[in-house]
Amino acid sequence: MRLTDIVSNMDLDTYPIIGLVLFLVAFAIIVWGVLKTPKSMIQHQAHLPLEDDFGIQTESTNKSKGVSHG
Amino acid sequence: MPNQTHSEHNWRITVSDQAQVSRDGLESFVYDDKIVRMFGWATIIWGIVAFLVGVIIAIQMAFPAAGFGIEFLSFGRLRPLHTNAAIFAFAGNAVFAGIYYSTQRLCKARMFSDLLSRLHFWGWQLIILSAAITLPLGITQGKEYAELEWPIDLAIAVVWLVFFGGNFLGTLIKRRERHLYVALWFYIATIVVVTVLHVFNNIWIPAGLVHLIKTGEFAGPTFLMKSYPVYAGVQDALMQWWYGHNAVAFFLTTPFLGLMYYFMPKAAERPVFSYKLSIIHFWSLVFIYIWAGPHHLHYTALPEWATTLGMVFSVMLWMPSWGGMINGLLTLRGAWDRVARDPILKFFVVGVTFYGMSTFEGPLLSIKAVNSLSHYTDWTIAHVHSGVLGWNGFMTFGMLYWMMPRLFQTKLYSTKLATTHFWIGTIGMVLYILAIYTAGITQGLMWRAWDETGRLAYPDFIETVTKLIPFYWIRVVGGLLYLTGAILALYNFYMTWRNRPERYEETVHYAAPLSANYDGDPPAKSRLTANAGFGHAGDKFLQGNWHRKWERRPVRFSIYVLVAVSIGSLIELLPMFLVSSNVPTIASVQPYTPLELAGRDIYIAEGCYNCHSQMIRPFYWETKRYGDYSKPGEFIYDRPFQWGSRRIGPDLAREGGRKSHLWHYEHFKSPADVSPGSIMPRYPWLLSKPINFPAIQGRVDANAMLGVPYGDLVLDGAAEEHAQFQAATIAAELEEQGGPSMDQTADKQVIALIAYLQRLGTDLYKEAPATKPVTTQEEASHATD
Repeated sequence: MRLTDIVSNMDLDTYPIIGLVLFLVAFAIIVWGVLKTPKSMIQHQAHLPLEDDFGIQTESTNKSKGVSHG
Repeated sequence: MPNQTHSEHNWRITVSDQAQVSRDGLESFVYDDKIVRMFGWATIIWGIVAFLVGVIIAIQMAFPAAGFGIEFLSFGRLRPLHTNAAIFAFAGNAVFAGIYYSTQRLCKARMFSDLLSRLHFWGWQLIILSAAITLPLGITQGKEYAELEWPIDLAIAVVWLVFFGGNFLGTLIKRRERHLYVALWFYIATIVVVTVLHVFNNIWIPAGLVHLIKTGEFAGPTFLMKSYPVYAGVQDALMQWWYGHNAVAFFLTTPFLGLMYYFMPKAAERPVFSYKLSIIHFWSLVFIYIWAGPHHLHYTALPEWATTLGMVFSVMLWMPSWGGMINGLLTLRGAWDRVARDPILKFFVVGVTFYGMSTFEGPLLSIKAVNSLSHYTDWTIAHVHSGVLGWNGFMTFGMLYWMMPRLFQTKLYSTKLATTHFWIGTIGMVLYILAIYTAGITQGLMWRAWDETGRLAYPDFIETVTKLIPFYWIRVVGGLLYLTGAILALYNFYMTWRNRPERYEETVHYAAPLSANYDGDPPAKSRLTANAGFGHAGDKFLQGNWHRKWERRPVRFSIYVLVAVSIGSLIELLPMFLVSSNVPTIASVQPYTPLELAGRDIYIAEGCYNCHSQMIRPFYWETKRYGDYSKPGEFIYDRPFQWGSRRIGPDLAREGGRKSHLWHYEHFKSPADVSPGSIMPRYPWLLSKPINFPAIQGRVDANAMLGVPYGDLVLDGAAEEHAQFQAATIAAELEEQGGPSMDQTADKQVIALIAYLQRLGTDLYKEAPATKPVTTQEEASHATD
């Protein structure tokens, strides 16, 4: 028996509903995971783009070797 | 703090961990900004090219003589160049510029490999250049947004996955920031899903190469580039729009959302409004988007369950999309006063607003009742342009105005000029979109209008075209304004660049490497007592540590994204490919003759699908105008399918036998002389260029390899001989109808194209052949075994 025969004989009427349920379950799990994340961690994560130069030491150099224009 | 939670404790450990290492020695690194500058320049330069080609083809629609009868400038060939340049050259380079800038900073690491960065840049520019050469030459796969032929497809796969994907993933792995910021998730999804889409939509047989290897005969460079997809008809359509829709999702949406989540907080100098919302936004989009593709095929020969599934998920998509839009706009809370004087924020605000408008309109258009009006009309074109010009374009300009002065280490040459660009661009965009919305809705209403006697109110298709010309002129003005704005941006960046320091200053950053034995996330402990095992397991799960672990593991994270998109893809695609009854075949539908096949390939090369559909929907007004509605079984030999997505000209699904050969001949020579008011370009070269007869055998052989029952026509030279005979017959008939002497036409491309057009849609009414008919697609595929 081919895979085509097996799938052709399957009842696919409920297929879209299975898809919807799968999504809703995944969605509920993700939302729960997000809601359980501590506020301090969320704040740290949210500030990452603003901390390019924070939390790390930087020094500006105009080194003799420099960099060519590009 | 004795009562602090595990996670709070973990975060503190992270900080103290870095502090500890700083005493022992930090790693130093310098960001590679040169690669960002290179992609930034490429973005604005290719953007101008894309907008310029857009203006040229917009002029051609209002004034067809602007094609000058030159094949390389014809609408059907230039339109794919415009779309590919806008998507892959302008938006693509913008995405790369933004990703290279933000990834290094979010990871506190230089890109993994400078060599891969350069290979990525030059490889991508070479691909764009290849597109700019091959598309005007008519070298195309004939599938929207996937036009590039197989050698370029292979190059895209290498440059995207190996050079870009490898470099990006390598950077994530060697990063010095433990948490992957949400922008990086969007980039991961982009890289993973675009790879999957590109590979599965571009599985083909390289007909010219196979012919060369098999026979040693070189049938010309154009044929060497020719390929046929392994999918045919309905299956090809589903695969193509699964690709087409998700290319919009994962090339024009997810990477730009990543850029939004990075650059808007930077420009507004405040964090994103809700980081939690951004996480929900991400997973909802990744999971839902992939299901929505079939909404491009409502009322076509696609099974009803597939299009309904696409519609439901498209409507669901509205919610996360608006969650993202609201999150973006509210990031500006407390900074709205700055919007009035900062052009960068202006670009971002309008960009995100257009994201909201487009993602409201998209689900709206996916609703079947609305789609019955909008599909094939200019409404879709207006929708697409509100997305690309408004969302992608303005987010790109906002990002570039913020980034380029920093990269050039000087101030922007002129803020006033940037503000002027914003207003010119906005006015141009609004003019364009409003005119084309009006044109689209007018078009749709005219197609379906009938009078009190039940006849079509506008039976002549030309009436529905000439009505739109004023709107097409407004579009030209709108496009010119948008183009002017982009030229101002180029000038502004050039002048800023001229003010750069003699040598760029490099900032050396120091950060601690990530500990290999990070224990910041000890396994969750059950808070329950006296419960069964599954109760403890459930409680540990509910504490959510698992998601925070995902967020730190890029490779696993990529795999989870792949799983999320695969579920939707498999549920949608597999039944279409595996259930035979989804494509009921029709005994009288036979393969194209060799000459018709060659004519079909000319139809594809000329990009006729850009203006003509081949899909009659089951509506009264469509069957009345074009004939019986299209059946899935009519397309089983169509590689690629040519259903099209718009009707600048009429549908051609049942064109066969409607007009004489002479009508077609004269129509290709000068459409406006045959159909006054027609905006179709002239095709004089089809009347003089010879048919590539030696290549015909290769075309037939490649289709036979894919299961088309060509029988003895695969024998050496048989297909070519058959094609020459049919061409002579048609040329003789053309002469009888008052056309030129058959000696002048029998070997010309126009004859092959007429052969194809005269065949379209006619099989349905023919007697089934006397031999045992091929009754299923499966049998068709085994008929030549």
